[in-house]
Parts: sequence; C-alpha cells; structure tokens
Amino acid sequence: MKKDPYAPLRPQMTEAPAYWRSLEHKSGDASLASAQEAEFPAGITLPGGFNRRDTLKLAGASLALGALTGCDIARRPQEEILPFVKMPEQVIPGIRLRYATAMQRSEGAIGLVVEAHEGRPTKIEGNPNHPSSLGGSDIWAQAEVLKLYDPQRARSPKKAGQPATWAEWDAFAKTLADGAAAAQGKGLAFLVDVMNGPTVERLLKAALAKFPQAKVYRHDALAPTRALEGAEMAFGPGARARYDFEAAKVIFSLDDDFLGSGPGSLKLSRQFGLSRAVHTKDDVAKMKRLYAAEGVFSTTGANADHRLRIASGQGVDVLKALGKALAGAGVDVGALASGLEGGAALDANAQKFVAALAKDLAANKGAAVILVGERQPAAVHAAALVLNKALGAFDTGLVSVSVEADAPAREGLGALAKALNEGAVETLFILDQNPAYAAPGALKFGEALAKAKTVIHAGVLPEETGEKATWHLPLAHFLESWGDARAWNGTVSLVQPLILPLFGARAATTLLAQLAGEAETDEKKLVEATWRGAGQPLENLKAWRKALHDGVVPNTAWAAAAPELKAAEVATALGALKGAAPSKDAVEVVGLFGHVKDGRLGNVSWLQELPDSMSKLCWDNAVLVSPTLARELGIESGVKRNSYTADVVTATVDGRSITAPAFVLPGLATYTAAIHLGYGRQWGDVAKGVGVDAWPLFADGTVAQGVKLQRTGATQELCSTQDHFSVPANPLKEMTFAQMSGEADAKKRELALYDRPIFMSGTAKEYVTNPAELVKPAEMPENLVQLGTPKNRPSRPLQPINEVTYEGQQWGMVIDLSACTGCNVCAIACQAENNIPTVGRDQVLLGRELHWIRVDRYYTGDVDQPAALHQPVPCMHCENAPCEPVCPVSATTHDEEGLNSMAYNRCIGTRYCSNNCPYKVRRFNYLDFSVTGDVWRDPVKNERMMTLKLQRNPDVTVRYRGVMEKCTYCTQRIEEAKVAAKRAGKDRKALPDGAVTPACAQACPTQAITFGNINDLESKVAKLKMSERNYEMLQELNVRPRTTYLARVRNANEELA
Amino acid sequence: MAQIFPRWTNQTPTLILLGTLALGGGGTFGLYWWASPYNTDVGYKPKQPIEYSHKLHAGDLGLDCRYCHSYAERSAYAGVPPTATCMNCHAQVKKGSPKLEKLYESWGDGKGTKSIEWVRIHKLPDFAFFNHSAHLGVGVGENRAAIGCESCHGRIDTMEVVKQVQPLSMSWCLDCHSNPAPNLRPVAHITTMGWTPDLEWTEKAKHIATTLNPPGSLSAAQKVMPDGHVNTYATAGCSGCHR
Repeated sequence: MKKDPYAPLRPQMTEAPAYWRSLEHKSGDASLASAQEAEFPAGITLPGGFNRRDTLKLAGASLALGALTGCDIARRPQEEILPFVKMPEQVIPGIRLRYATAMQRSEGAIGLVVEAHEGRPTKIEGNPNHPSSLGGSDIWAQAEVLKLYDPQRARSPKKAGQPATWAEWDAFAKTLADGAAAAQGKGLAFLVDVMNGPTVERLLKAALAKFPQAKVYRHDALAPTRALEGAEMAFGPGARARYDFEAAKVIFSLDDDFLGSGPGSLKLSRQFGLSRAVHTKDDVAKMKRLYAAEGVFSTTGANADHRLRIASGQGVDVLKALGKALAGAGVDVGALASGLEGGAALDANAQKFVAALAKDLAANKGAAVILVGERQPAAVHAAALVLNKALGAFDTGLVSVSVEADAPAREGLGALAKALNEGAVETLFILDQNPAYAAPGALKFGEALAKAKTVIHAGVLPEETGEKATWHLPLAHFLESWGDARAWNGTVSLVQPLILPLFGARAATTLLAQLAGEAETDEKKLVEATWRGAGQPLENLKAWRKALHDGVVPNTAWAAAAPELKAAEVATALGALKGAAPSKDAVEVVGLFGHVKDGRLGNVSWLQELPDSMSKLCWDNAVLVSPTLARELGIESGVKRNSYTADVVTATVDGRSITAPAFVLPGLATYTAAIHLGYGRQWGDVAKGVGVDAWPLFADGTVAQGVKLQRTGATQELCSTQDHFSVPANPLKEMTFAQMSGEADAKKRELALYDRPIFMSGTAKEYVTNPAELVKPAEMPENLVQLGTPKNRPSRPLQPINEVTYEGQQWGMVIDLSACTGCNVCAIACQAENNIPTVGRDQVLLGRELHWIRVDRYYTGDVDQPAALHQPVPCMHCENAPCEPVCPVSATTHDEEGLNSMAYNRCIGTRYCSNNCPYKVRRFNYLDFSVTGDVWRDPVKNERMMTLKLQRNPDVTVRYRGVMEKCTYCTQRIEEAKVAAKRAGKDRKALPDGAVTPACAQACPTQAITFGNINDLESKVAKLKMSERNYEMLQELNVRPRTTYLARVRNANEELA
Repeated sequence: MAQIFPRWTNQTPTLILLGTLALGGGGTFGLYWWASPYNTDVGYKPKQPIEYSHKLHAGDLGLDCRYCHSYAERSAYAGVPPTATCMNCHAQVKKGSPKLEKLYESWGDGKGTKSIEWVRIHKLPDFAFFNHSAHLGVGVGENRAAIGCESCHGRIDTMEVVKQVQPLSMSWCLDCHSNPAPNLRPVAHITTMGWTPDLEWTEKAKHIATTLNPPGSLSAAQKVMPDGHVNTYATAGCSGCHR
C-alpha cells in the first residue's frame, strides 16, 4: 500500500469521542476513519456485475448511435392534454385539496388530513382536531400513501389462485350467506382486528345475530391486548385505561415504549416533548421527569432521564419492589400489599433506582404516573393501575378509565388455531390480516389454516395468507373507501375516500354486509346507516358534513367512569406471578415491532429503508445483543466500509429455532436479546427475502424466555447506517492540521486543535444555575465569538457576516433536541413530500441512501449502559456555504432569502459540493432511482412501478441520475405561500409567521422543529434562535448554518446522578 | 530568382485562420440556433383534434380568455376547458356540424367519459415551474399590475390555429424578470388583446417594476444597500422556478 504523505501529520485520536455513533467509532476503528476520508471510493462494482468498463463501452456505443439519430433529437415529443368531460366539483388542476379522514389502527384510530393533487392522494398529515393526532403523525401513517399505490395489489378477486370476477364472488357470497343462515352459522368464523370501526362492529353484530353459532375471533399482534386485560382485571369487563400527561411531573415507564407506539402515543409524545422544551426557569419547574426500566433500548428509554436496564421477565419483580417501596414511603397501596410479596431480589443498581423512583413518585402524588408495556403480563398492568390510583393519578386526570358498554369478547388467534385444529371451522373469513405469516411459531397457524374448508382472505395486499386462501378479495385501502374509525378514547371519525379503488377493490363494510346477507351493501350507505339514522348524532346533513370536514364526530369519546377497583383480585394475580431472570445460557429474546410492524408494512420500501431509531439497521433485522453477552458468546461484528460483517447465531427454544445475524447494540439489558418481527417474508417484491422471520421463536406474545444462543460460525453482511455520513467531531483538526501546524499565530493553532461536541446537552440544574454555559460559549475561540456577534445589530438572531446586512424575509430553522424523541417521522414525511426515492439494500450498503434529513443517534457514557441521543440533520443552509464556491457550474447558490438552493438541471454531478459539506447532508443520484425505484435493474418490475408514480408531489422535480440533491426547506411550500399571498394582493416578501411549514416540522409530534423568518424578531423561530440553548453545529467552521439546535436538557434526579 | 509565390500569398495564413474562425463560429452559431427553442419551438403549430378557431371565438365573438381557461387567476395552470364548457353553447349552436363530431362523441349526451385529446403547445421542462396565477397579479396595493395573456401567448385573437410565438427559454423568462416594465399592464386588461400603454402608464410601470424583484431578476441578484454598496447574489432565487 502506498504511504500516505500526510500520515505523520494527521492528528491521532488521543481519547475516545464523548459522543459516539457506534462501538467502532468509540474504539477509533481504522476502517471507519478511512471510510470517512474516502467519501467517493473508486472501483465500486454494481451488484449486478455491471462495472465501469461496461458503462464506458455502452456510453461509447450510444454516443455513436446518438450521432446518427441526432437529426431529430431537438424536436420534443408530442403530448396531449386531456380535460375532463365534466369538471368534478372543487377540483382545480394545480391546486391541492385536503380532506380529513382517519385510519383505524390496532391502538385506536388516528385522525388524518390527506392531501390530494388532481384526485391523487399524495401526502398524509395528522389532523389537529383529532385527539390522538393533534396535528402530528408517525412513520406508519405517513407510509400508508405508498401502500395505497403498491403495484402488487390484486387486480381482481382470486379463487384458488386464479383470477375471478366480482360477479363470481357475489354468487359465492350469496350461497355462503344462505347456507350459513340455514346452519345458524355453524362452522363459520371471522378473524378481525381487535379494534374496528363502529360500522364493522355493527355488521359483525348483525352477522352474529343472524348466525348465532358463528364465531368472531379478534387478533392483532400490535393491539394493546395485555393493557386491556389488565384494565379488565382491575376494573371489570369493557374497561380500558387512558393516559394524559398534562398534569404529570414524574412518569415511570415499565418496559413501555409510549413515545414510539401504542395508544395515544402521539398525544403523549406531544405533552412530554413540549414540557421538555424549556425556555425559562419557570419552564424547568414544569418539566416532566421520565424514568424507564426496560430490557431493550427503545426511544422512550433514550429519552428517559434515568433508565434501568433490566430484563422484561423481571418487570414483575421491579413492580413488586416499587410497590413495596411506595408503601414504605407512605403511599396507601391498600389490598395490593399482599400481592407485592415474593418478588425476586433485585441487584444493587436496580434497588437504588427503585428506591429513588419510589421517593420521587411518592413526593409527586397526583402528578406521578406509571405506564406498563405490552411485554408485561396483564397482572402487572392491573397492579400498575392500582398503584396509579394510590398515587392519585386518577384524581388529577393522569389516568382515567372508560367502560365500553357490551364490549365484544376477545378470543384470539390461539383460540382460532385450536378451533381450526378441532375441525370446528369450515369457513374462515379473514379481514385484512396475514396470520399465515404473522403468527407466533408455536401456534403453527399455517398448518391450522389448511384445515378450514374455505378460507376467504380480504386484504389490501394479497400477502402470504391471500396466496394460500381459497378466495382472495382485494380490499379497498382506507384512502379509497367509506368507513368509520374509533380512537382509543372512543372518539369516532368518518373515513372518506379520496380516490376510487385503483383496481376495483371493495370496502370491508361491503364484504361483511355481503357475508351477513344484508340487503344494503353500498359502503357509504352502510356508514350512513350507522350514523344518520333517526336520533343518531349525524342525523341532519349539516352535522354529517361538519363531521366529514372536521374529521371527528363530536361527543363520541367514552366518558371517564369510576368503576370499582378490584385491588384484592389484582393482588392475587400479581402474587402468583414470578419473574424470570435470564442468564447467558437461557437468554431472553424479545420480539420488536419496528418500522414494518408485524410485517403488514413490509412491502413499503420507505419503511424498509428507514434506519431503525436505535440500531440504525435498515433492509435487515438482526438478533440485537448487549456488548457483554456478545463478549461472553464470542459474537463479533466487523465494520466494513458502510456495513457490518456479523456473526450468525442460532436462537433455540423448545425445539423452535431461528438463525439470524447478531448485531451488538449497547444499552440492552445484559441477557436480553431482541429481534424485529415482520422480516423474512415469503411474499412481496420489496418484502421478500429481507431479513429473517423471527415469528417461529415465539409462543405467545413477544417474549421468549430460556433461549439458547449459539454461533454457527458463519458470517453475514448487515446493513446499518449508524456510521454513514458521520460528521467528524473535530473537523478542523482533520481538515487543516497540516497547514495549521505550520501556523505562527497561536490563536489559529488553537482553533485547529479545537474539539467541540456536535451534540450539546446538560441537566435542568445546570440550565437553571447557568443557562449560558449549556452550550459552552466560553469554549469558543474569541475570534469566532466576535465573528458571530454582529457589530451593528446585536439583537439579530442571525447576522452571518458582519459586513452584510440582511433584509426582508430570511428563512431559518431551529431543532429542539430536548423535544426530539428520535421517532424518524421527519425523515418519512420529507421522503413523501419531496419525491425522494428509495435506493434498495445494495445501494445503502454503498452509502447511497437519499434521505434528506437523517436522524443521527449518538451514544454517550458507558458501553453497557450508555445514554442515547437523537439529532435530526437536514441541510443547514449555511450562510458561508462551503458547497457553493466549489460548484463549477453554480448549480447550488444562495438566494436572497437565505436558501441554499439547488438547480437540478444545472448540476453536472461533480459531487464537489458533497465533498466539501462538513455536515454531510448532500445526496447524489448515482443511478436512476426515481424512475425505477429500488428495482432499477429489472425492466419488468420497472413497468410495475407505474402506480407508484401517482404518489409523487407535482410541485417537486423528480430527479434523474447524476444529480445532487438535498433539503430545500420545502421551497415548494414557500413558493406556494408566496403565490397565495400574491393572489390575495399581499406582499410575498412579508409572509406572516407560520405561513410556511416544512414537511418535517408539520409531521413532528413534539413540535421539535420550528421554521420561519429569522429576520422578524416576533417570529417563533427568531425567539428560539435567541434562546440560551441555541447553538450551531460545528460553529468553529464559521459556515454560519441557518439550521441551529437547542441543547438538550435532561431533568435528572440528583439522587441517581 | 523570381518569386515562386505571388505576394498576396503572404496573407494566406491569416485568411485561413480567419476563414476557419468564421466557418467554425458560423457553424457553432448555426447549430446553436438550430437547436435553440427559437428554432425548435417558436411557430410550433400542431394539428388539433377539433379545428377550433381562437380567431373566431376569442377574436370575432369576443369571448374572454377566462371563459374557457378559467383557472388562470387561481392556479398554476390556466386549464383546458372540460367538454361541458363547450356544450354550454354547442348544445344549441352548430348542432350536428361534422367538425364537432369529436366534441359530441366526448360529451355522449352528458354521459361521455372520453376526453378530447388536445395537443399541448406550450410546454416547459419538468424542472421549471411556471405559475399563471403568480403572473396575473403582481405587486401590492398601488403597485398592483399584471402580465397580459398576449405577452407570452401572442395575438391569440388572430390565430386560426394556435401556435407558439415565444421561445419559452430561460433567457426569455429572465429578460422580462429583469425588466418587467414593458410587459406590465393594469389588472383589468389581463385578457385585452392588442392593448397598448399610454404615456402615464409607461411611467407608472417603470415605477412598479422597481418594487417587484421577481425570482432570477438582476434587481434581486444585485441589491443596493442603504449605505450605497451593492450586495451580489450569484443567482438570486433559483428556487422561484426550480424546486
């Protein structure tokens, strides 16, 4: 190897970085450092075996051909304009329309506002009127629009795998309904979600009334089943608990990732995040404190002020210890006391945690709340409710219980498998579920399914179950159909279609009505029958229209009830529970629902390519193990340029096993391993063959105890982006050391050796005592501080270079790291808004993913027990942008309002700009990703991608190969606001604050991203820029970024510090 | 010894050089012109499915442009009318004319679903975003003005078959963005064909133009600051049209 002439001058890393992206980063792995230096390595061979030499050959040939045919290249192709025959009401080409609708989910509906361009839904946002959205959304809601356009949706019903017509189905359904009526429904079973819209429930009830012997099974891997069981154990049938953090001061999450998913997750995130965004000392007093005890490392754990690593199996022990400690601290736990006995002893660390937690909870009676996650048994949920009652959480509205009158019984997948095996089910109707894949392995559901005579699968996508079923019926997506949906608190929303079914699918309500033998099968009339009958809330047309417009039906939330607490029964159930402490030879393996959930979103490439919040794995799943367990089992993973070579392990329990690569994730409980479910699919152009199917490992729920982990000796490549686009913490040191070492000026030398953290954080106490110190301004060399403080206008939040005066509208952004929970929704919202293609696993392995906003995850502290921090990084729109002067064709330039704009048609693809960008936020289209997506090599698949084009935002250019792209601050939304101002005769150069919201800021559930005019001192963003927590990333470079951060403030308990 | 070459041959190298330059330059310019929108696009006059005469409708009958292109003031697109708009008159007028066969076929007695396939004449590349509504009302309050239809589309009222009269090239856009005054007119006259400004308006337009700073204009790229110095932006406001 050639000797690097600068090698002696390159500074050696003397100590590990304070904030590290990966274990390899912490240990200063040489291959990572070289990957950082060689941003565009030569000699990349495309995975298809098509190399640079072939490209040149082809290019030469096409040039020659081009010369021959060049005679008519100048004439453009003829294009037709096709106007409507009759213009639909409200549609104006070029003007987007928004409709309120809702999406029924396992944890209750979420209200949405969907944007449509000329009749195509293109973007989903949260509905500010809806109690479980409040305007925010999550990645799963954002991604639904791509699922709608999935090219693999069935074009017609299928009977035994062969295309059939709807008329054939109608005839079959009629026979079926008549037969069932004659047999009183014997042998007929329905498999539906746990939570359904009221009309679906009404039709199910009608079906059961007609067919008294038919059975309805309710299953949803994602539904908060244990929470429901726990509430029913504590309060009786139909009870469900709801949480509200408005008055909360101390929150304890026992194995619950409430910031990531679950009932009311967006609302709880909003309330939590807003309380953490402190701007004054008074805000600090209102700051919520979060404790988390968990085995896996969730985003909730990452946001916790104190986190206890403890196996999920030991959750019951933690709760018992906590209950006892609370009783000791004077909290009246009542009849629960007897149930608190018998918990296994916790280690010293856990004891200290529990003692401090109990003290804090008891001291904040009425403002303290305990949440329990789905991995914990129902009795733990019930006991937590009892403790919440004892802590006064019910009195202050932190927890409330509602009772659903005549709530349907919940018989799950286990009962259905049993019935199938007994031959009790002849005809099974599956409504939008995929149990042939997504079912715990111990149930052997696939085999059981084969025992039913007729399986009717209605699904938006055919998936594994649809392929095996007798009938597959294409189900209309919720954006294509009428319906209704119920939120966790009971609030009903109407679901209205934005487009006719793409391939003639039918709504769930229509299919159920057909099966139930109803006379009325029109989807809209069925919904109207539920809500517009005499005496119903939407009886008059005006109320109906208003409910459609607002997205909520008023006064439908279930009232808070005060049912009797059965503490003694809970105590008995809790007392009977024993914790399970895992060990090296009997590891606890936890199944996680990540971006693809239980697999239902596996065919959505956006979600496959989105790096996981913690592991940053994408297009892959792996057995996540703690560093200690990895050491003990001899598991290693070696970093390659942009990926990992990981040891493959076999996990075995009760004769069931899976084989998967292992990935070391700091922060897991020592003997808890985790693996994401929903991968290793047998079906789907996108989903098939990605990752490993982890369902076989599980028997019931998503925790497997006593698992044996063994290395197989093989290794496998894993796709994790945790080291991609890494920003050196000391860029000056690396970039200019050679010159600086010869510099005579001591001040400049000091600058060169400067090492300032990229992520700033402090505790609430530090913020109160010395707020200015939080972002360590004293550490900035004096000359830079002066550069940052303008002479003439000291009050301006941004005065980039003192010689230049900025006039008019100047855009800027602030990202509050205190409020950011690392949920990733900004990345998906940006992808949906800005026509960002996915590139596929092969390309991500080469570091070519295109996300304009990436969410960096840093660890800090001990390897076994680190804290994790999330930092979204979009283009900073620097004032002294290093990318601009190096562009030979001026494709990237500054505009008068401060945008660092990118003219795609001017870009010739030198990539100098990306090379010169210190934040590594520029993305290059190495291949023609937009046209063909991640299947760029396959023309047949390319043809099938046509429907995906319907999702594109017509206001944003679709980029072609060879073009650089990056965050534009959603310039199309800025322009839209400006043109709207012009139309109204207002000044487009003086838009009111809040007139423009970028997609990331709009989607953010915690409102961590603020955008606006920083030259308007009254604007929200300008005020935040003047906050003491405001800092610039890599300030020492003096590039003057317009996106700045607010340092994260943690509300630490000093007893645990 | 007699001269082998006559005296004038001393000029040959210069002549060859000049000739080469002239031919090369001419060739380059010729090619540039041939491939430019001035040659390729101006005058583009495709055959339309229905021989619709703008001269008859907009000129002789005096229909306002916005009767058919009704979204011009509200949206990025002026819009091509739905068949129903034609039927407002042609349900009665010229009923049964063989020239209108495709119109009635599309209408299908009110139940038709087949669009009339008009051929697009004015087309911008996909990376350029033009907005009609942004041009039909510019400036604030006193300084409100507009660009008229004819500024870009020409005298539609005289065209039997519509053709493209302007190149729609970037330099053509920027010519007006840098110096909008000659093309400004009162908002009331957006659709007036053959409108000419009076002296008073010419002066007013010059004043209005200084307040506009459209994207990409020189006035936006080079700003004179209150203290007299000029701030220069490499290219101001690419994102106005490219995004």
